[in-house]
Amino acid sequence: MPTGRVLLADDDVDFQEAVRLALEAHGYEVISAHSAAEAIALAAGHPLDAAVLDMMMEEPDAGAMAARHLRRQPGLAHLPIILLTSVAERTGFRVSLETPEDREWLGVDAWMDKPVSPSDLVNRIEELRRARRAQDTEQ
Amino acid sequence: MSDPAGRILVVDDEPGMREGCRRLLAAEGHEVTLAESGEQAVALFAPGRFDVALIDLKMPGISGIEVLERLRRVDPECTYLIVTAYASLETAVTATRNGAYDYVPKPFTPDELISVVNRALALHRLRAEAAELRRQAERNLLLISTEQSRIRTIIHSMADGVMVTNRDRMLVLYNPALLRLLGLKADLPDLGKPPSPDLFPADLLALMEEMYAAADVSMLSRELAGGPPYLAATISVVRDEARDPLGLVAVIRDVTEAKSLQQRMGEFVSLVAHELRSPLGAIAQYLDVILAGIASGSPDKERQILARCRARVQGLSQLVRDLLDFSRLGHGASRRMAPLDLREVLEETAAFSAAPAAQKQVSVALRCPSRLPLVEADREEMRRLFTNLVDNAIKYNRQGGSVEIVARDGDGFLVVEVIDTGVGIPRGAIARLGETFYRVRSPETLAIPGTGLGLSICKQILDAHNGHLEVESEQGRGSTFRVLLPKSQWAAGPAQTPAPGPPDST
Repeated sequence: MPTGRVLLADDDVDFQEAVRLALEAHGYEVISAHSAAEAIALAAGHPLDAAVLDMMMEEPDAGAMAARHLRRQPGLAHLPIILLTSVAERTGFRVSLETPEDREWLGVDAWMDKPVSPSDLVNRIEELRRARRAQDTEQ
Repeated sequence: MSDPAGRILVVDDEPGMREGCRRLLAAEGHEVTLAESGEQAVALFAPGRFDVALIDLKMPGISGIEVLERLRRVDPECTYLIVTAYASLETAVTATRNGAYDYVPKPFTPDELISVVNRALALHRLRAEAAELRRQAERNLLLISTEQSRIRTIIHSMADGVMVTNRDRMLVLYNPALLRLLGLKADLPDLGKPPSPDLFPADLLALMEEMYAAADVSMLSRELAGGPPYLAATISVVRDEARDPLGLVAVIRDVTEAKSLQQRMGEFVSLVAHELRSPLGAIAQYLDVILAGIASGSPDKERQILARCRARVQGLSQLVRDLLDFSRLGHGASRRMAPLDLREVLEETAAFSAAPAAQKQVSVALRCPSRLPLVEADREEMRRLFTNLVDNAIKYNRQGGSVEIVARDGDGFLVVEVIDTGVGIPRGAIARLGETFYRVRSPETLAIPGTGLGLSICKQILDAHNGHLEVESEQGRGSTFRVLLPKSQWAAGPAQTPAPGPPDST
């Protein structure tokens, strides 16, 4: 059973609640934010193991912009960040998420389509955490 | 030969000759008229009356030659035969030069007479036919020129721009709409020259060039660059009977209206898609949680999740209802304006709000004078307007709060205020309230279901009634939605007895 603290940002209370239940069932502690601004504020006060951000919150690309912001905070450079999107949201905004360069620029490690299977989400988080740990050991 | 009978004039001073001719020709079925002198012949002659005239050359009084001359002046179409003795053969030849068709030398046999007259008649008929054909051709030419001017008038009064170029790429025709759409004012294009690149858009000329080059394409359509006005060009080839290209016709259409409609439609569809996606995403995510067995240990938790799914489905149903209303109001299809006493509508609204108000423990009170001035309004839409406002006032209220509906006679307007003690609206958000799908996002409103269409619908209704909505709000204290509706001219004020309202249509 994994452990750790996940920042979860989504402006839909029900979606937020459903993902929170899924993550908690897998042993995570969940910190809930309902906007990009709230996510950024909460990230400052808690050590985090991963962040799961909804793309479309107060702005159509709020999640992407929050990811870019978080990534540049001290201590968060290696935080695994997963963006949740609807397929139609992935293109047509300021950046596309289709290329690794774009994901790199945004500081996003992965994106997943909504709705997301609870086990897929957990597997992805753990995969990214393992990769980060391996990277950290190398350095 | 079944030729119709000819109408024949016989001019001869010898009675035996006249009578002989009459008998012979009448036996052939012809209609014969006799004249015993040149004077008599001239007197009874008239244009078109005879097909053939048989004139004896030698008569007392005016001579045959002169008779011929005078008769020809009256009717050049008639066919003239000269009857003469051998002695005056030369004169007969002169006569044929002067317009007689032939001469009959005396004495002649009956067959000779009949044959020459029939030949003359046949000639006469040919001539008449030729003349008729000529007249028809003239009529056709007239028709063609009328048709040409009609087509020119049609082309000139078209709203679409039209230009025609010939096989040699020369401009041969254009209409005023073309000049207007292309913004050509001072410099008119020259006919008989290729369309100038200074006056015509490059992509239009390129499209025409493409059409000249393409042998197998009969029509090309493309939107032109630039705008507004946004223009679309359709180029067609004109071909002759042998299918050889004669030139091109370009029709330029203003598609600005269609384009903006398309754009608004696209925006609306993507807004609707987004509004559908949030609840669908939430429901699907909850179902995934249930299916993954995450909540299976706790029946309470499961019931809670299913209740939320249920609520979101209800929200979707409401969205569909609002969308239909929104579209119906946009068309104004079934609006029925009549003098209306709003008091009844407000009483109904307050009564219907009792259930949701009780659920949220909010009190609803109506304060309305016994006599309100009438408004010119659609009853159903007024009901919808105030239901939306009162629903919002309850939905965004705090538990134990209150909603007041206050109606009064204002200056020229009837004023209805819906006052709540709810969460209030941030100052910056007030101006955006009527926007389609706009919802105030704040921690307090996150969990409140709404479609973002309610106030858009209110605004549409008020626009249709020449009314107005004012919003005042203080965050954390509450909001006032003030509806102003122009008073109906049926009732001058509360001091007068209001005219009776329409019968209740429900």
